[in-house]
Amino acid sequence: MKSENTIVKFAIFILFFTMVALILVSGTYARYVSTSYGSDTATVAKWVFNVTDKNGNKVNVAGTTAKELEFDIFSTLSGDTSDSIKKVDGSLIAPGTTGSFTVALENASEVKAEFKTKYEVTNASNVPLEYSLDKQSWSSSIADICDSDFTEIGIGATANTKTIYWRWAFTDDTDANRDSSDTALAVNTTLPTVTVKATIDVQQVDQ
Amino acid sequence: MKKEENIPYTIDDYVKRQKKDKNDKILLIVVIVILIIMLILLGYRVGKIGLLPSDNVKLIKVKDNDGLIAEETELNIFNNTLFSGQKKIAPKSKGSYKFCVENVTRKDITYDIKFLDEMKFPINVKYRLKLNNVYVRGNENEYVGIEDLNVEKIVAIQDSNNIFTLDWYWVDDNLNDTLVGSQEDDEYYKLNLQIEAEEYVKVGED
Repeated sequence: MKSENTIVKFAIFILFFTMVALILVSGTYARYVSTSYGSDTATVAKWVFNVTDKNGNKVNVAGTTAKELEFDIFSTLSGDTSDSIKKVDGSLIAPGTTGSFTVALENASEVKAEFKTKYEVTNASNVPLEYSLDKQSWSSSIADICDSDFTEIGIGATANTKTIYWRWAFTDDTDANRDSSDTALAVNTTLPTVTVKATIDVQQVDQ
Repeated sequence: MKKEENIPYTIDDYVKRQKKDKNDKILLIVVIVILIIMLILLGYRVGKIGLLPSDNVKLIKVKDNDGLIAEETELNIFNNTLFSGQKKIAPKSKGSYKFCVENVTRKDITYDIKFLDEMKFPINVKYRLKLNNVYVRGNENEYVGIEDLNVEKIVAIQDSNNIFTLDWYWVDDNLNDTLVGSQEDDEYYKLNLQIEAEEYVKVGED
């Protein structure tokens, strides 16, 4: 009986000692932890730059490379020809034929932008075309009157809306007539084509 | 033989035996109660039971100009003066956000600050972080990616404040920026900030 009591007492003592030890060291395994959490979300500003082409369609040209719009200039015939020649039906061309096209730019972005325009004409048959912005002064080079260096355009603003007029001139810069060259073009079996390429380069303005 | 031992021989022996049994029972109950109390104490110490679960113990207060940052708080990191204070960003946008971490205990603590961003299209936002006006991530001339922005084991002594300044900057990348800016839907950039604090344990105390 005495022996059993001793064993029980010893077991209780060991248990008690173990518990005390556990309690003393338990702090090293415990960590009070507290967490704070927050977040924020931003919307990305839009990047849209529209060019209205000759047909009145808006084309987004905002891109990493310059955007090219290319079209046949004779598709912009106005039919508004000189009285001295037979009025064409809108599909034929002849000396005195005129036409026009309008290119409009719109910065529909949420950031300021700047643009540069460059016009090139491919005229393999050397049709003697002249270009003007006001129908008063005419130039044989479309680039001379239309090209622009980088120009800033505000948010939501439109700019550089240009109507470019063209004509098949009767005479050259010295007022000499072009009868022979015009005749050569007329009798040529290949219909002359003239292509205009407008290159629009747009980039964001640093703010 | 045992039976003989259990048989009281006299009335006095019987009374003594009864008294001893009673004392043993009381002792046993006391021991059991003590062990239960110790078990509860142990559980409480390791944070598994108790009136104050460890997750609810506030060790820090995190504040910014708008108030306390607790859980799921909407911050104002990306308010952009270029867009009249709207949360709108564009390539080369930049801004700065200040927040303060306060140790509200009477013990030293350590804490980690973790940053995580979310977006649909890649947006190259970079950061630098100052602690009490000294760069701890990035420097005057250099921002770092978000993957290098986290800071760990910052020790804050009792009743102290640490002020952090987070600078952000959208480093432009023509190809990706044009892609994300040209999307018809509104695109987003989200930054998550998490600060986790725990009691400080000096090396060797573990």
